[in-house]
Amino acid sequence: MEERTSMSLLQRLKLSKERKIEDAKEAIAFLKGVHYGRTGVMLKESEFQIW
Amino acid sequence: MVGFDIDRINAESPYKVEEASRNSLTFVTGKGVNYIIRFRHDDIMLPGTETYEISIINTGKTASPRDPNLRDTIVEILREFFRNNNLPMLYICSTGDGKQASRNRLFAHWFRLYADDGLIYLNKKLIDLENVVNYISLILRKDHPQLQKVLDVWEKEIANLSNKPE
Repeated sequence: MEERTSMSLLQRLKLSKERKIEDAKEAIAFLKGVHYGRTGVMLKESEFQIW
Repeated sequence: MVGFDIDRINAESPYKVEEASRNSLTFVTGKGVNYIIRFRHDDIMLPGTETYEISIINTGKTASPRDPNLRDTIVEILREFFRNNNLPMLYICSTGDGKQASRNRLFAHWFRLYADDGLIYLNKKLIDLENVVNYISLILRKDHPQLQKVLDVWEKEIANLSNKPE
């Protein structure tokens, strides 16, 4: 937490956007009933859109 | 975050909404496009506040331009979020395809359609480390028990820093 609060806003924005993409991949995999990650399917950003 | 009353959403929503997983809803448009509306806990952008970030995910590549039923379905989900949760909500437009400005305008337009006097809508533009323009919106109920604290954090963390080099 200390590390996060010491990060600049722009660093936090970058981290937040990266997390959002990973979270979307997990949500899509869950919906499709498949496991996401190293031992499951690997989704690419070009395969879906986040608004 | 409290869950959703799916029946209440579907009483008004043009598309049938279903629960996908915890804090995630899903529906299929008339063109067969599957969307996920996800509310993710944010512990980065507005530290010290219990804020959720909304993600609108098109699970495929087919666009749904000018689909009023898509708009009305998402508006119903937003309405249900704020009915059930007195929590701030962030919307950060995705920038991967360069369409963030149009997304920002669309979301603001939808919010005006929602037209709930009990909500506050704030919006800021922010240039990131890669020189990409980002749009960030904060929506919260005016009766939030820590309204001033949330607005202070927004001002301190985002509004005051918008477009200033770091």
